[in-house]
Amino acid sequence: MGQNLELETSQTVDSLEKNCFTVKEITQKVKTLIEEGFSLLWVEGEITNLRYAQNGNVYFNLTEEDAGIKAIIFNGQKNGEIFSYLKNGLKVLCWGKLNFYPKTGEVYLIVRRVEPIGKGLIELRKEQLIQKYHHWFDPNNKRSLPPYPQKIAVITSLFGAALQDFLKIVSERWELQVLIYPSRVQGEGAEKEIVQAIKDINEYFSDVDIIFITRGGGSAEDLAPFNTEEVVLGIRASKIPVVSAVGHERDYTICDMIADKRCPTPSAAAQEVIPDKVKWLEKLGLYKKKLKQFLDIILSRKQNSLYQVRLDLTEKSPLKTVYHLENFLKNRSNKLELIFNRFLDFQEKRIFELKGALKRHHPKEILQIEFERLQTYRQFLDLSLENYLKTYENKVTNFKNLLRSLSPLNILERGYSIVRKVDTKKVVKSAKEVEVNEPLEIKLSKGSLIVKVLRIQDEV
Amino acid sequence: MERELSFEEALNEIEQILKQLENKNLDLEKAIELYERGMFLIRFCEEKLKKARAKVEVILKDEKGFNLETLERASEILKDGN
Repeated sequence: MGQNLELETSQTVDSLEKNCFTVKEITQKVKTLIEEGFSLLWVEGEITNLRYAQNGNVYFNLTEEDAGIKAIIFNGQKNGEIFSYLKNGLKVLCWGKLNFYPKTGEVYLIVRRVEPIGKGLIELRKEQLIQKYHHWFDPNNKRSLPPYPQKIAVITSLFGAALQDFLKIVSERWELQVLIYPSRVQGEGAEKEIVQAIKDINEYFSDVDIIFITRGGGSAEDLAPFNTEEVVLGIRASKIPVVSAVGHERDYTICDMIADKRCPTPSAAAQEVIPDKVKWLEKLGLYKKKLKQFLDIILSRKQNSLYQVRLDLTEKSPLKTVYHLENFLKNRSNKLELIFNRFLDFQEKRIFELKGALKRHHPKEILQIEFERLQTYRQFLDLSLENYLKTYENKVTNFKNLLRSLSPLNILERGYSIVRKVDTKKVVKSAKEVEVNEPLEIKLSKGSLIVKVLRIQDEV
Repeated sequence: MERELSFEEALNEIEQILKQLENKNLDLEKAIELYERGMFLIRFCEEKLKKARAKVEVILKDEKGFNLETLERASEILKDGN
């Protein structure tokens, strides 16, 4: 259709110079073209130049790079929450109709519905709440939690995993009264139940030390009740401090921000806020040790000073003087005894020596000595006589031997014999001295023979 | 009388006693007295801790006011109610 128009225009310039409109005519024609040419449509763009008119209408430009179109939201058509979150720079999808205003020649998009692009409505609402109440999120504005709670209240669904997780940690951890206030934690109106619960607990269970608001993770829609103004105001109004553990680590709701303490998960809330008896038992053990140590230090100090005093006292005691004197006396007496004994020993020794000398001069001793000398002389004498006799005996033996060697009998022993005449016993030295038949005696070395001469022979 | 002491009070007192005992020049009688009191309190806390358990109840609200129920009973009631 636009193409047609263009064609028509060019034809007009080229050939039909007469084809001329009045302003009214042309604006009417454009109005028809625009308003009938486009039915209801979606236009995507960024909001700029946002203005609110006194009559309640909202004006803005929808732009994309260097293109733009004016848009109006009429007061009567501002249904839907999004209208309160519009702001410059927000990318939106607008549903509506194009209107042409002949008076100014402007085209407006009459917007009936706006949807955010990118960030959802929930996110927008959250951002706005954060903006509005950010001064309450300051940690300095938050209440501190009692370190040893005795009674706590938990606002959560009875049937959620969050409660199970929470109770699992809490059950054996501390002497604690746990009141569960059942409440829906998702869906339309859940925030009202949560706020009512906070109110009721504050009013009817005012001895509760800490209120826990908890649920498990979920989608942005699931967590939506925790991003509402009601919850912000409800928690702010609570006199009892509030711990929020909504969703998982990554979910950060406004409920988390306004609460006095935020924990990433239900289990973490129990662990971080409820004291642990195991740790406390350990700590008590430590205290016990410390107590003993301190007492020991004091005791040993006292003992020390007692010892010191006792030392001082003994130092100054009269008994000690007596003891000293006694010791001195004992020493002296010992010394005296020693000297005396030494003197006695000396004298004794001297007497012994004198005794010895006296003994040596005793006549009996002299007699003994003289007797011993006589004895020696006698022995001497005996020995001399014996020697003398022996000398002579030897001499006689020598003579005897000499005599024997000179005896004629000795010659006989060597085989010679002596011949003697039987009657005269004259030794026959020559053959001439005998006659035949004469008896002769031949003396041999052993015995003798009597023989008769058979023949005489002269010397040869 | 000691029964009424809370864990927190006992703990505070223990910490006070420890602080006092840090003074090495304390009288012996006082020190022993503090030590005995400290030990008593520690035992008291230990006893309390050993018995420590969470007592869980559910607040149920109706037209007349609030009732406390056990978790099991409350779960039943609410399930039926829902």
